[in-house]
Amino acid sequence: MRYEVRVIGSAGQGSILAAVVLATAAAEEGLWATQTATYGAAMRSGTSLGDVVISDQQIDFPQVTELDAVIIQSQEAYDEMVKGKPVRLDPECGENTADVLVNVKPGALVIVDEDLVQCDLDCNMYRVVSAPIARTAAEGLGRRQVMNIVALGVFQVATSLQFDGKPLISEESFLKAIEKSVPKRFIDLNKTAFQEGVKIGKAALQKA
Amino acid sequence: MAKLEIKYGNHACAEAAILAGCRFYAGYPITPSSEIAERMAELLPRHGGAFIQMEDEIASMAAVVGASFAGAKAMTATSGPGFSLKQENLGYAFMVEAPCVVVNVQRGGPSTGLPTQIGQQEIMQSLWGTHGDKLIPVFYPGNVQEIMEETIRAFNWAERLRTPVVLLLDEVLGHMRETVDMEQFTPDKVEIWNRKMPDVPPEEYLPYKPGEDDVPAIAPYGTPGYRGHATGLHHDYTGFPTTNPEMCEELIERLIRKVKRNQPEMEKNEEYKLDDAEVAIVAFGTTARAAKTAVDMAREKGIKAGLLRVVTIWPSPEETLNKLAKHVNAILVPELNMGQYVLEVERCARGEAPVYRLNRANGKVIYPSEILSKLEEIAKARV
Repeated sequence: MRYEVRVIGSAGQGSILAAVVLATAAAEEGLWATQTATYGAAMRSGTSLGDVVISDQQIDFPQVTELDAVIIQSQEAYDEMVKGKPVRLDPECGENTADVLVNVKPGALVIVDEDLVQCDLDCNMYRVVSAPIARTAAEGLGRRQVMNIVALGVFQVATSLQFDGKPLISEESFLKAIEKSVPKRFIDLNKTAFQEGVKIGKAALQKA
Repeated sequence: MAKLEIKYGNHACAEAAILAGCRFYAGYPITPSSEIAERMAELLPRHGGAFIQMEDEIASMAAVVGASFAGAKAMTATSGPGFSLKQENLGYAFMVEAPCVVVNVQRGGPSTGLPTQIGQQEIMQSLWGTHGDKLIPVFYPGNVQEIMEETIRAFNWAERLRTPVVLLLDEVLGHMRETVDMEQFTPDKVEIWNRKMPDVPPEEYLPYKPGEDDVPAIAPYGTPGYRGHATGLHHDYTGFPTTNPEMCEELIERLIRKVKRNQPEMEKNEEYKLDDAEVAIVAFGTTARAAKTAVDMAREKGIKAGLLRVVTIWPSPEETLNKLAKHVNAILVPELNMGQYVLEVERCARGEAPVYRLNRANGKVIYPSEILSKLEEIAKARV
């Protein structure tokens, strides 16, 4: 089993932290993971991304090539990825090699923010899950900054679409991973954010 | 029982250094190696060690040699231009036989090059960067688990042979988080070698008189009664300079021989599907991981490919490479430079099989699909 995920968003949305938490959760679950990211600071402008490869055995090539899931946090990130078809997911690579190097598999999970991303992907080709991620963080939790962790909650639930009704990684493993990955004073907030994400994820799946 | 944990590549290197007994670090932060210094600054004081950020790369290498001579296991880490600045004192460490570990997290060069992107351009420099003849062990791990293993192995060989050891990483390895099975790194399971100490009374002590293993037992500076001298000049058993041709010849031959004679024990490779391979890939570091995936892709297309992943890149696995060349129809060496280790592979192949190249030095990794295309091209021509 090899499962590839990309978290992409605008600067400051915590895409890389989400990828770190996801990789840590995979290890908690007893799976192998590699996590890579664009290097450098993108706090105020531009897009940033974090990639995770998950497997039940040691991983050879550590970077993503065929995505099984993508979490898209902003319109800017969405536009950057979807320039023409097939969906192009390496913003840095040239036009000619784009679809060879990083692709989204047909049937892949595409998680988008309901309010922030205008998503016009072919729903027959991808499993698009749209949920009010940023709104839940801002209005429900009072901290828009935790939208990345809310998104992970949605992702956790949505993977059950790909694994016969059972999620790839348990809620408990994610909660343990959050404890290990965020500063102490924000642990509770992030755990709540994750659980809220699970709730809106379940609601979104029922709607779909 | 596996004990899986996610670790950041550069942090894994620092943590393994502590496990190996490293208690001194001097460095000057440089991307993409800075997180090693950062982690050492945090860990060393907690383990009774010392961390010092020096005024530059040259001074930090000098401090490492000094700490080593005082008896501490010492390390520094750097990248790109920093590795060039380390070279003079790296040669000094080799000449005075100061055990130490120099980590180079490779980025794109030459010069300041591509600070945040991957390169494998110091394959030759790691051995030949400092002037004069020498043989320095160079290890190059391929994943985060192995970063820990190889860091410990680097310290062990440095201590046993009293030599600097270069540990090569690359930007992707250093900046990657990956699952590590920590089970093998519990303190009771880690094998640690320490440098030997003089077993003669002070009046018979000659710091540079080698033992049967070609390694001298030099007392740490300050050991009462054991007086010594260290110089980068050619020296005799006392450590004082000499121009006596016999002594100079004995010294240079011994310095190289003490590493060379241990090549078989130091050799470390991973062989993957080589038994019936018709085309072999020779690779290391991040590129070897793409190569391994490419081997599987090629096999699905009916091309019998295999991989020799070299971990101890210097001294090179000369005999293994020669045997490999006799066994296959062609060899491919993909590397993130304009063609460096391929020269060594060609030398060792001694014409037994044609050696092909796949080179790139633009800061991007080589993808499995690109190695596959090259394998298909070679298979068409050779198999």
